[in-house]
Amino acid sequence: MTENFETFSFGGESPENYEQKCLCVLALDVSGSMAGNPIEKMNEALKEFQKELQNDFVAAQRIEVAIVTFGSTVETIIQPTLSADFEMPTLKTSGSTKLVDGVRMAINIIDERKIWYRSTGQTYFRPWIMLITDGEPDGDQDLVGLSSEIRNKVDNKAFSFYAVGSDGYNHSKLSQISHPSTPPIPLKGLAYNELFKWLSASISLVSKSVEGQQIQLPSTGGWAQIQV
Amino acid sequence: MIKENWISAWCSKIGSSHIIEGLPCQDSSKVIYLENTEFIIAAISDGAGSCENSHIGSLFLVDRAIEKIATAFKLRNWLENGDSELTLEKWREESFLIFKELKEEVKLKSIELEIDFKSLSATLIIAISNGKFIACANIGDGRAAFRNEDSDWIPMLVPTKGEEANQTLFITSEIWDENIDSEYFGTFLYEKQITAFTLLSDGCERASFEILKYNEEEDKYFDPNKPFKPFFEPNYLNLLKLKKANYEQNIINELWGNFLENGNQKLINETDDKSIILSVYLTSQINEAEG
Repeated sequence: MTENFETFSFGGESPENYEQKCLCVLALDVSGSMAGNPIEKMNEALKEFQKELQNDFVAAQRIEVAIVTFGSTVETIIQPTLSADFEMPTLKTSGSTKLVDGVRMAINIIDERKIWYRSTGQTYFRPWIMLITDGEPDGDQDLVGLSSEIRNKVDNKAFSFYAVGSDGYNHSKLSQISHPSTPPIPLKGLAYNELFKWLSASISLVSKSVEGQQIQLPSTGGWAQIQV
Repeated sequence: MIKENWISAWCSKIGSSHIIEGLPCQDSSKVIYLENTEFIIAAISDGAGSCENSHIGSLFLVDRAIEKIATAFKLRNWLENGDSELTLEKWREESFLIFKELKEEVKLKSIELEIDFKSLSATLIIAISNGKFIACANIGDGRAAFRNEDSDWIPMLVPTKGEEANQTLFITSEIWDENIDSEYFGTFLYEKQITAFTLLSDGCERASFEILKYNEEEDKYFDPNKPFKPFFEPNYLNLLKLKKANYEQNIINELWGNFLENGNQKLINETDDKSIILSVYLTSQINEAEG
């Protein structure tokens, strides 16, 4: 053994395999009450969120992002796409709060994407929906029906559902929508940047998890307001 | 001890996700050379991530599987006549029986340790070879391949899954031992000269196999189950060099462990436990090694 260990180091190239996907759908309130500072902060945070995902080698290949906005109308502004493959749009505010329709749109995106994953032979992690609102659903919105659908689908592991309320949101109604295991979390001031940093860290952990693993999500301390 | 006609590297390394969670490495791997023969027996087991005692289960399985296969080959006189007498049918019968007995032994182990039987859940891949043939059997996921005389790497198993999508099968699972024709129990026999083989847990499959590719014409993703030659071949050659340099087994395994942890970006990024056994059969090909 006259030669050093480096002479005998093992080494080999790895193949390019498609990665198992993890879909994160953002359902974002762009109603009139979000105008001004809140929407500006959210827009900044969304751009940082995309950068964070792109900077994570594994997450960049596994996490697909979709974005639904809801105000007076509901719009899917980003279909499920890897973070490197879309330009983050700048959100604009308008009108009332079709929150239920917005969340339903997010659920439809997940349902359709899962069908596509299965039909094309791809495996996937449990998707996430992240709802962010500063208000409450319009009066004509089917809150009860949505609540029941979310409970059933979360119970059946169809997706994980998280709701965040910023200044002015209706905690009672957001609690009604949310699954009991993940009650809504009030946002500290306009800490959207901290919220989206938490989201990118959390969803990255999910995308790197292995079957049966219990994931400890990062602390929400940087953005969550403590309720008293 | 490195058997004259074989040189191997094997190691199981804990994944970063397990470190974060404070879990042990749940993979186990082992290689033995049967004394006074040219036979090698190798086993890899991947403990179920959600089962708290699966690291005990995987260690128990690799130890006992190797012992039981060695015993079976001695009793059947296959150590002397293995390459001429062993058929796929005989190998399937024998390995199915061994796996069934192992399941019962895991039950007894759980009683002895006063723990839940299912908490010991783990997959199992075993292989036995004397260079002139190789036989392999598996329950659950992971990958295996051998290298033929033309230097091609050929897969030896298809990862077995349960009825539901993504349901991992373990030796403790209910369905695989219902009958010997069970699709959940895999066996393989190659009856010609081999030059190397590998067994690995699913934590290493993305780094070493082509497992998810896209077929543009059919708009389908599929699993080619293809060993990636640029991954295995340099390591095959390095083992030959290590043999020439007469390195001790513990040093080889340490170098191998370093490779599993830091060998390339895919291995570094992998969060699951990682195990690979790579064994090279030495005929005249030792001259292939550079230097």
